[in-house]
Amino acid sequence: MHDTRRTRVVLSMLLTVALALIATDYLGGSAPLRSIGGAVFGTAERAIWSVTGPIAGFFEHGAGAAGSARRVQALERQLIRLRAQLSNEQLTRTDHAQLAKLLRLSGQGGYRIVAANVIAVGQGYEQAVTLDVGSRDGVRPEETVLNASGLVGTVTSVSPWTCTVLLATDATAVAGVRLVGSGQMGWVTGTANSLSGPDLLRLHVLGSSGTVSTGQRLVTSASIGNRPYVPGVPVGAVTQVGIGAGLTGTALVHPFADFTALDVVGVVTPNRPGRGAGG
Amino acid sequence: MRHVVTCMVLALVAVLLQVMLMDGVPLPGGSVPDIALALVVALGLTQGPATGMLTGFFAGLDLDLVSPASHLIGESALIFCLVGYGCGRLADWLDRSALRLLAAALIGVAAGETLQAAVGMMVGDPGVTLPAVRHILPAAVLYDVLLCSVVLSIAALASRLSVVRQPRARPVRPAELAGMRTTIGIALPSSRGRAGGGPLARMRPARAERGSVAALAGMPAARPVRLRAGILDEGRAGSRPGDARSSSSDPRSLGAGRGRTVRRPRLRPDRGGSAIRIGPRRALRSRPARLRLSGRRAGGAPLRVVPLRAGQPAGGLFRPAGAPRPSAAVRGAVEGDGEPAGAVAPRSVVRRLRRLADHPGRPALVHAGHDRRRLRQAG
Repeated sequence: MHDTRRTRVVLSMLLTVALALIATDYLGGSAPLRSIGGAVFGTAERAIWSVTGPIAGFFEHGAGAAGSARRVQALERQLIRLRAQLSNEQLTRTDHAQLAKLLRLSGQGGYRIVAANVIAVGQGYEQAVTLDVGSRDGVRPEETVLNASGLVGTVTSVSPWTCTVLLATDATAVAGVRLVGSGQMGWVTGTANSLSGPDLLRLHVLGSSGTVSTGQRLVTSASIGNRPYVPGVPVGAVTQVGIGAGLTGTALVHPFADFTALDVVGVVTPNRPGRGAGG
Repeated sequence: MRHVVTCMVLALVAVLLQVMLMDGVPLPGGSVPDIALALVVALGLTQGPATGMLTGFFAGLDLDLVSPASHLIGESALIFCLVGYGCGRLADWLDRSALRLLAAALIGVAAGETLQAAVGMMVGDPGVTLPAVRHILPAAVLYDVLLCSVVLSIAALASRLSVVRQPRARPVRPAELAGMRTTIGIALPSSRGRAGGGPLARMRPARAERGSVAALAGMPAARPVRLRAGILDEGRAGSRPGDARSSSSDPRSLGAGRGRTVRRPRLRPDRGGSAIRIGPRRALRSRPARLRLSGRRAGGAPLRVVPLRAGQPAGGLFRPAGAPRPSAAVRGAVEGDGEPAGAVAPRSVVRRLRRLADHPGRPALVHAGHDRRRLRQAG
């Protein structure tokens, strides 16, 4: 297998194809390709997961603890459900009426939580994961993903069997938040893996950061149609207040969810009419 | 075609392993080893540019399309394709040195990771910022090199198993013999009379070419052992040693080049006798190490070469578990045709080869790279 003329011809062909793909994607014409890729790879991933998942669980928890592991998972799912309910209730109690008036919240009927497992993780510079639920489970793009601790991210794309979640720690992810207590509005973005240690979020608040204090907690604020984030999901706690350069003050936020060890998460889907009230 | 499919399957498996298994592992340094990149580099280095670039392209495409990926489609395909091709080109430089292999692997993965970061920055991927690159790159390269060496070992092991399991010996016609890159090839005097004739030598063409896995695996123990033998005119070779290097008997013409335009050694069956030249490729190039064997060819009968586990050095780490020791292999290597009359190999040839092989402390059949002098004396 040496470098021959034929090899070089093939090489140039492959490079041309790759460049054409890049150009197509850059110009925004790759949706069909992505959906095909998502369907094919998503199905493969879910199929593999359905086989390897139990095995991995077996090894992780030991032979004797298989039953208790199942119970732990069930409890975790319940916790996620309760967490979502709680945030909903809190919101309802404080200013639901007001928000509903303003934003025509469709979430009065509560949420339906689709529990899911993380089956694949983005590599390199990407902060994204794949879940083993897809459009057949009622998941749609731009739905909130949370776990028992707090906000995880939002669904970006959905294939029949899987969906891709953009984590809140990604540099492109922006989530509107409110500071608990002061009620100040702001937004958090990911720090793009540039800081060592745990993944941190960067909080931007309108106005000076002088009003932000360390330890203050953040919850997501309401967005139109509960997309991409449902209101009231705990995000994190402020760890370090920076001096804002410009109009916005910034602070670093330690997220409640552990992004390095995501396992069971829940996708918040609205209770659609006709689908029946799920768990 | 089968080759392409193999590349595709390997790439797919690597990518699925990557996203489903490896990326979830929390490792220090903010990065995880890139299985696909390590595979592409390892295959490029061991199998050459074509395999490298094909695997690279498919692995990159899979990485672009696999679920949690959000970068541009084609980005990884472009980068991995280039990396695979580059590593394939580097294979020529390896020369079966472990240190060079490691250096080449380092160059390969570093180029891959750097290109990924550079292209990400170029297309304006918001996740790829300078601090992020500084944070991820060193650990990523380190992990990749480690994984790459593991992949290389696995590949070596796999090829070892495949060597053991597929004794795919096929008869080689003399016409092929000269042009083929063989681990052992003996051009026989009588072959001239039977142009394109019957199966003289049963052997496999050496799949283990330069930089191949099989060759690499034998690396630490011995430099490549490349046994090339041509029966030369005994009278000439015996009387004037210098002649052995010249013209038609030049080792470079004995399939040492790229296996293309190769002249077959001039055979003089009428004069009787033979000389066998043995030496590794490298030694042959600079100063041909020679082992000249003077012997009388008995009759016009052909020698027969029994497979010497072709495709690999006859010794070193890579000797298949069940394979006979080199000495035994050599004992079986040159033997009579089995035909009744006159089908006897030159005794002295057999004797000399045996003595050579039985030499203690020599892992390889012939270790002429370090042993030129000894061989010369032997001659």
